Amino acid sequence: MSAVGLIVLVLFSFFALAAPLITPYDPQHEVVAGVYSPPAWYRSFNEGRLLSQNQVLDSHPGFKTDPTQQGWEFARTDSQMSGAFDDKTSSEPGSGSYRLTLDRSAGPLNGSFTATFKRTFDWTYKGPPARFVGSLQVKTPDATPPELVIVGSTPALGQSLEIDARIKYIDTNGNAAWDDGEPVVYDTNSDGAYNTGDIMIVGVAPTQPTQLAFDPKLKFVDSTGGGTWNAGEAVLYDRDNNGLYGLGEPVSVVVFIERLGNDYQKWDITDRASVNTTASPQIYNKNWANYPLTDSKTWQSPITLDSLDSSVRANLDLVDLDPSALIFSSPGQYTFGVNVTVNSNSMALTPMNVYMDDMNLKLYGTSWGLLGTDVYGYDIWSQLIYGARVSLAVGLLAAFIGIALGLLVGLMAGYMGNVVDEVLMRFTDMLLVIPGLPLLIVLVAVIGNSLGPGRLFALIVIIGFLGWMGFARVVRAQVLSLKERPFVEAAKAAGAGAGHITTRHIIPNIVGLIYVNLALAVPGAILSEAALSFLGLGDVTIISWGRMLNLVEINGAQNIWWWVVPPGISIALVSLAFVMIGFSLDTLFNPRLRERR
Amino acid sequence: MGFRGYLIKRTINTLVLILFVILLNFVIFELLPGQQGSIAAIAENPKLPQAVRKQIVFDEELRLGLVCGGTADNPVPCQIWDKFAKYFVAMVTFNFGYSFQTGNPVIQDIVQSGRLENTLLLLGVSSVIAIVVGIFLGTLAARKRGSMFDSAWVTASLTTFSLPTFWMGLVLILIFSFTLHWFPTSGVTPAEWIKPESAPPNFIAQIPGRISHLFLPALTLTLFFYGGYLLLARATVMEALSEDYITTARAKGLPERTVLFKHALKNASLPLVTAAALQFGFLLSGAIITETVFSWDGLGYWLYQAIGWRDGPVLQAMFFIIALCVIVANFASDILYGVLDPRIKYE
Repeated sequence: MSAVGLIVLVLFSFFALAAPLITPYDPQHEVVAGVYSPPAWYRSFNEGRLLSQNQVLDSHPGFKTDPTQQGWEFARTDSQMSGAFDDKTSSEPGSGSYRLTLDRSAGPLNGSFTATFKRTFDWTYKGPPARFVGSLQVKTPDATPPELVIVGSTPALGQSLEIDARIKYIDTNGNAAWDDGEPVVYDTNSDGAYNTGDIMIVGVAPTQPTQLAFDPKLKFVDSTGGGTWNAGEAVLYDRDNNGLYGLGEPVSVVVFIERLGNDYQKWDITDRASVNTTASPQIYNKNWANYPLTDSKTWQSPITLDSLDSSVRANLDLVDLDPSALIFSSPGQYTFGVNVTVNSNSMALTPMNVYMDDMNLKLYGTSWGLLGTDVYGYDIWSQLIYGARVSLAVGLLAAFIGIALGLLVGLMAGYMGNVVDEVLMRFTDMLLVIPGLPLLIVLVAVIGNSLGPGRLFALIVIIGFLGWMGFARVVRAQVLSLKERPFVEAAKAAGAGAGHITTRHIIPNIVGLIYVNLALAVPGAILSEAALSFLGLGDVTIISWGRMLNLVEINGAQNIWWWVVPPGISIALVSLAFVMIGFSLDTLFNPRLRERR
Repeated sequence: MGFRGYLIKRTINTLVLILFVILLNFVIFELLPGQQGSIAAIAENPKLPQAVRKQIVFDEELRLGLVCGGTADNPVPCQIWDKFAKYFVAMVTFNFGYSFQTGNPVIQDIVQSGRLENTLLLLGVSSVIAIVVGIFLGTLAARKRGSMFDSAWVTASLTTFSLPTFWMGLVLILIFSFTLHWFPTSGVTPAEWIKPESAPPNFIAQIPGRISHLFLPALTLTLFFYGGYLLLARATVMEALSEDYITTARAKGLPERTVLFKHALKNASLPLVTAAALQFGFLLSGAIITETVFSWDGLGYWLYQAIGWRDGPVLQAMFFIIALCVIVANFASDILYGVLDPRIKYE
């Protein structure tokens, strides 16, 4: 029996000590798979046959070497587009990126040019993943507009402009100074529309109908700042009123997932706006591309497309349905990629480059590891392993404190006798009568709040300080009998003091008792910690077995068997192990308990 | 010393214990920071004039026993003895103040809210079952000492001892509620009875619904402490079985069942009766946890909610009442022992 106890104990102690070696995952902060994923081995049961596992498209993301050598593909729709690995440009030092280029060296190009960068993979599981997260970093040409707002030929589409104040002030006197509140006129026939032939002026919105005369100076604006007024410049406004005269993004990047095969389908999981850093206004005249679009210095913020995000659902027009369940509804071949469209009708001859880096797709499975995942997708096995640390530490330390106190009180009461004995034992008896758990709850609830980070330590001390009474009684009884023994009298006769007799003659005689009670006190301390943590009184920053069950309770996850069962079994196993060892030690130190052979 | 002297001694002992609990409560809750919270809110309220603020704070401190007289400008600090005397009177008269959570007097929330009944129902049912089943199995185990039956039940009771109560409850919910769909997961009564538009059915019609809600919490509590009775009954009956009167009974040709339950168990029942009283404190601890697991709207669940609310008045009232129950149960067990066993020597 003690062998079983020892094996269990050694096993859990090993778990506790070697926790970071056994499991690489952070038990409380690292999402390892979909939420509430059952253990991976559950897949071999009939109920678990539809479960999937984690899959990562690119296990070495970052394009440190040419990605087309590793399964990524470049495909162009237009021959002017080309793709190449660029080892100089990267979102992070030391790696590379993939560059898509629109070559404009042969002359101005008008129109949109598209290329695709993608990777095809197999989804072999019968059920969909719990979640997918696509990631991508992009660097598009700088689209910073010139500081000029242009008035000139009328909006090509003849659209009505409703909010004119958004248009930047223009230089009404042609001297390159922009004055706020210049009188601005437009819509010369006051019909509310910018019809062909109307003159566009920009500034503070005048009250309708405007009476400002046509001013020839307003007709054209110096788009280059060089003092030359060109006819036919574009008209730009700040359509979304964000203060930016965006030229519109010259590049759009759309991330998609395709299902190949008979039931081919393609899903764009981004729209343009979610890729571009600035919202892209539609402009009336795409002449903006006159400006040389140069390589930007900075990368746009990384794009993360999480199937749990509402924006991804919105792009897919999904309200209730999970995007990952929709897309990966059957096993087969899938493609993850981006469509890059470069807009050009520029006079410029410089190439336009689009860089891509850190492109990856992570599919979170619906099953995971040895013990599955919890409500956040954290690894339960890691929690169990790290929880062993807390539970064992609390159990051993609290038991140690309790036994040390009990020994002290028992020795004092037993050896000193008389008034000391009477007072100490009365106190002990009173504490013994008071129900332990309610006292613990009240103490921790009151004191715990003021402790903050030291809460676990406080818990240990409080449990220890409430666990000495039984042992004190036992020690006292032993000491009472021991101190009447001849060897103590002999020591006394030889002139030994109380300290000497206690440490040399009495303690060695109750050392077995100490070990036995230490072993038997640990389960009580472990159970106390578990109960307090379960009630939410433990240290919530540290994972313990009681805290795990507390989380089950808080999240109403009583039906998640792989979360409910392991912590309880562990508590019971460790407690039983200590009880067994305690009983065995008892038989070892107390020969009268041994069976006669 | 006769029985009367014994009674007096026990009574004094009990009263000292109650005083000790009040003292303990006093020491613990003097540290509670939440009590000063409401005063701080008043003290910092900019809408009130300075003098008014001071007066309100003073009145509030006077009420809470933080100052003991004087005026707002010149308050007289409390002597610790004054404070304790006030506290003592409040506790003894069950004047626990007002719950932060409900705003009602705490004692009213305990007595009139139905929580007391719910807790007593749960405790009553599970302790009766645990005692009957534990003693019955323990007696049989003693009779068949060393058999498979014996070791199986001893192991089972040791195992349920080592299992955390709340975990047993969670596993029972997992099995009986989520897998088999036999019993509801939580609550005292079906949720639709609480809705205002539907009056709860009459008493007879309520019984099935109530039993289905009671079953799992009662089972959890029963599992929690039947083992103690089993082991105790086994030990005492085993001892009784070695007595001469058992041999006599057997020699008379009495059936084994009569020997076991009439002669052995009856003589072994004394420690069991007193243990039933002594187990009370243990039982209350189990009830706090069990009620929390099953959201059973009793005093234990209320204590759990009070933790979350930092409801000092409720916490100290509950602790005091629980401790009081245990002390009274102990007293009862001592007296019972004296009454039931004429052989006892009063010392």
